[in-house]
Amino acid sequence: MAKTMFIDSTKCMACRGCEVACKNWNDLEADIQPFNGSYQTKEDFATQTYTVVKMTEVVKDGRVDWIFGKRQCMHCTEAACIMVCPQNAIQRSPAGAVYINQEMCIGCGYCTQNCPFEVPRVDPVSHKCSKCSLCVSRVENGLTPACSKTCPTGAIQFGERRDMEVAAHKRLAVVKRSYPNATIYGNEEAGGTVLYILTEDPSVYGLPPHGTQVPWQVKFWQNFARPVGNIALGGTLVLLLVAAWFNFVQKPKDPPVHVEGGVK
Amino acid sequence: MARAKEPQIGSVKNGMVYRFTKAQVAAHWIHTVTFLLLLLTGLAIYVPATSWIGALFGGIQNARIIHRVISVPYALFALLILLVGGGKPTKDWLRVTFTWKGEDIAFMPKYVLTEFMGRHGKDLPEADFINAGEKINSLLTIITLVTLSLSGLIMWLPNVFPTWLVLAAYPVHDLSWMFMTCMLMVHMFLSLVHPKMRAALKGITSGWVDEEFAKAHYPKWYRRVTGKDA
Repeated sequence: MAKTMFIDSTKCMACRGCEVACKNWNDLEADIQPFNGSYQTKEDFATQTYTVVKMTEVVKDGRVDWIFGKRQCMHCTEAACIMVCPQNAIQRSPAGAVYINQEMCIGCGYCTQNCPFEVPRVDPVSHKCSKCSLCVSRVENGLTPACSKTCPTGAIQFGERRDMEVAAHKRLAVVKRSYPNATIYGNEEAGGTVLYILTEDPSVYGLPPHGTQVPWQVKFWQNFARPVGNIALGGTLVLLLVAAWFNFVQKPKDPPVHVEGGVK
Repeated sequence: MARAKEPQIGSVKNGMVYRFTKAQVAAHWIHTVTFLLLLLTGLAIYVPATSWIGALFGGIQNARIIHRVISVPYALFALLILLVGGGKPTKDWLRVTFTWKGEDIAFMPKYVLTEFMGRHGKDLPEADFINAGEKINSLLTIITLVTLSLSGLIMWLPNVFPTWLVLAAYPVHDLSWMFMTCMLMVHMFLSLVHPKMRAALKGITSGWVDEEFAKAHYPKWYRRVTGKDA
């Protein structure tokens, strides 16, 4: 059954327990980065960093607001990465987790280039691409992802898609009292495997705009260019087989005028 | 040191006509070898069913490097040879390639249904330096040299170009190699397998083709360059 992760950014206090739990469960290196003037610990996704809490200060009406954007893979139901992977190394689990089969990955970076959320990262040494797998091995065994499990404020909930959608809309009604511009993000954009409640514009959280879809170039490539190319290749092969048949098996009654090298 | 002078296009000797210059022959084979290497490494990277080809290049990671290394001579060498040493015969080829008349359109279905299938094509429109099918081959080779090189460069350096362009480069690269490979299969079938066209292979290796073959297949060109009747 389809599962959903519901991230309520208004409940996030940026403790970054999710970052730690993610590294712990997925056995990822600490990758300590220099202080860059912000409380944010990780600059961005990396081959060893599947989830990042983005911190932004927003000043509104003389009031400072801290915006925390818990970012990870959106596990799109129509996933550009799955569409473009030339080795079919990216798969989807029954619960909806989009994960990379490391053995099949060749590190070509097609998914990195085509992901509208800029999530996957290729390791230049191992030539393997990695990203959040929604803790697929946990989820498919009835557990919740590590980040959700560890979250102390309940900002990262995980459950059946329908339940999470109801929870998100209920919560939105409450949040709207303090933040009239609050929105739900992730349903329209990625099919709802990851849902957010955002109080600001998505860009403040490091997310692409509302209504982001699989890029038109990817759709043109997958739905038009590739089938047309395949039909052309197959059609040419058939044409050549037919021509070979008429040239060598079903030879013409009147022999060709100019025969060079002889006909079998 | 005195070099043997290259024969004029259309020179006739021992029943053979000089059809391709040394520069054209060199450009043709450099293009052939680089394209085939790119096709094979590309198939290893791109198509799961043929990823075993990667083993021929020492694994998929090596195939990926070779794909990039070969792409440079593919994009530049044949082009440079023709720019430097192409001269009038190359201009002539381009002129014929880009000149399309009603008879070229009429030629295609007639040819495919008769000569291509091993039958005699009656009343086929007379060809000049190359026939309509070969014009399509030339056009597609030129167009895909540009589209494959540019889209490949963009995919190689995704951080240099805007995102929309990088994303658009993928389908362009994909369509280009597929169409060019279709053309290549037909081209190889005609030059290596087809009983009536195999004579053309000698032309693109030595530059010389059988006079009778030239008369029968390229009568307009034959009359134009030799001054004789076809």
